[in-house]
Amino acid sequence: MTRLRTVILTLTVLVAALSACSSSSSTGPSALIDESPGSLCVPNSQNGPVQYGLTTLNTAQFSEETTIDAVELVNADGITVAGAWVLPLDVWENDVVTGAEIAVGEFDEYPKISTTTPVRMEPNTMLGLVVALDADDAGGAVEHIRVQHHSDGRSFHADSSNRITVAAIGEACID
Amino acid sequence: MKNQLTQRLVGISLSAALTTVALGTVLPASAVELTEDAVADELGLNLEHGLVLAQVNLTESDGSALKEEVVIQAFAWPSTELLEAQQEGETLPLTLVGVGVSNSGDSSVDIKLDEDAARSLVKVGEPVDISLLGQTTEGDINYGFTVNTEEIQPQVQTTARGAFTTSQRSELEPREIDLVPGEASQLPEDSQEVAQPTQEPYREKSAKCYLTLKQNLGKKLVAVGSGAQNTKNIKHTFTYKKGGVTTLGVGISATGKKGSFKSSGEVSRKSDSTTTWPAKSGSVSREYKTYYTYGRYAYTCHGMFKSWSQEEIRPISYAGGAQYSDSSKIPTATKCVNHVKGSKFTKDTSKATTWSNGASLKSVIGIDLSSQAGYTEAVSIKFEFTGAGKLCGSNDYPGGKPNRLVGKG
Repeated sequence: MTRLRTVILTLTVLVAALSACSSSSSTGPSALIDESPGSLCVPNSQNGPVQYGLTTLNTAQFSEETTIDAVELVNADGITVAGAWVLPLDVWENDVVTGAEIAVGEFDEYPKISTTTPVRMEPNTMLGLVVALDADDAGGAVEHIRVQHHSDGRSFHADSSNRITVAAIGEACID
Repeated sequence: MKNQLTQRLVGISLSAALTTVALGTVLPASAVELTEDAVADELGLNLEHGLVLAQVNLTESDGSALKEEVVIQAFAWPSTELLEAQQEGETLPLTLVGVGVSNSGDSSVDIKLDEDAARSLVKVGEPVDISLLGQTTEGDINYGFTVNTEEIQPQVQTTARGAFTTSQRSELEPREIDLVPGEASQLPEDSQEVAQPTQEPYREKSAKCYLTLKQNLGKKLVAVGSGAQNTKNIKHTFTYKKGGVTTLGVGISATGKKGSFKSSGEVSRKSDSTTTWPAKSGSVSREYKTYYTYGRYAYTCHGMFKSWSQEEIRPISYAGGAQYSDSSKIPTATKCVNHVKGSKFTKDTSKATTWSNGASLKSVIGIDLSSQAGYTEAVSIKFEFTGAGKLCGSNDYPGGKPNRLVGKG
């Protein structure tokens, strides 16, 4: 009898664990980013990554805390992410200069998004996203910036709608 | 092929019209409660698949529900190809494609699409103008809009037996419309009263309708975009794209007299070429305009006991051309981001400004009609930063959904 109880208990725990695992692993698009299509071209920099600061994150659709897990590039060629931070809107508006080089430690006082230090956002809040983009000398392009996040027990991703091009070093953006 | 499809649409209209006469006979005044099934049967429409074309909120001017039964018929206009070829004085039939019934005290009416009509619209494969027409004791109902048949296409497919599948019918996004009968138009003084069989105010519950092109008004300027900056370090370039959809207002009038027109709905037209205006730098607010041809239509509806007509001004087709007007007043835009010198940002607008007076028709009908480019990706605007500066949106940051964009030094 005791053995039967143990088996039932084990099965119950297993089912609960599988169920929790399956609900949190479900992914889907979210409205964390709400943009209409556009494209950006910025000059390249010999001195390190350049800033991308056109995208805001808005948690209006979520009823619980949202955790920003990672920032990735979708269909990138010649560009990688060197870092990503979330900033209060007023700071983001004033301090971020899209296309400018990022000085060492420039955004270190703000939460950095990484797999080891996920950033949390309260419901119904809006923050500015700044991404440090490291481009090859020959330049590069990326279709979307993707933000992986989870909230309300589910995982989501949100894509920017702005295509980004970084020109080759010494060259201007061309149409 | 297109002509065959149009003929098919017309065919639906004719077969439906043969039955509309009977409806007026069996349902004089408000003696019999109308049901959607009964009306659909009488009109020869099959509404069983449940595709809802529009959800109409039908109220009195004080917002209360109408205290009478109302039948709203949905008519499809002929294709753009036929409208472009229509000569002044030529009459074409409108095609009955759906119907909705509102019972007394219920303000909500679902206008449902006939199954054959839905199939024909899908085959036509281009946007189709719809007019919602009806009569109440408070006045006429007349509202125009455009259905993008591409929205129907993935959902409305037929099985081998020709039926619609349940999972495919829920994707059509019904147009939500608020209507107050008589507010947009009054019964014409010269409406033809064929007979008056009852002492109660009589309104026709079904009719067959025709449209006549009374006058091709030619090219009219339509605002399709804007751009502005307050510094010589920024320049912008505006492009109006081939295939882009512009939404243009419809004006209706019971009499057709100048000054009697009121706006009632809007229809969409596609541009068939791409136009890029010259880049503009320096402090300026520039409004971009192109031409659409407009027509003055009379449409006449024949019910069982009565005929009535209205006049309508609506766009016929895109005519091209690149005009602009400048103003020194820079629009307000406060959602700003900084740009480095040498950067370029292009916004492909998904929803742009609506100009309530964007289509210049005041000299003809007494009012200007609305215009809005960007129903789909109709326009793009590119800002080039020859010096460091800001780009600001009026409703949102430039990367989001900014509506108007303004460059600032």
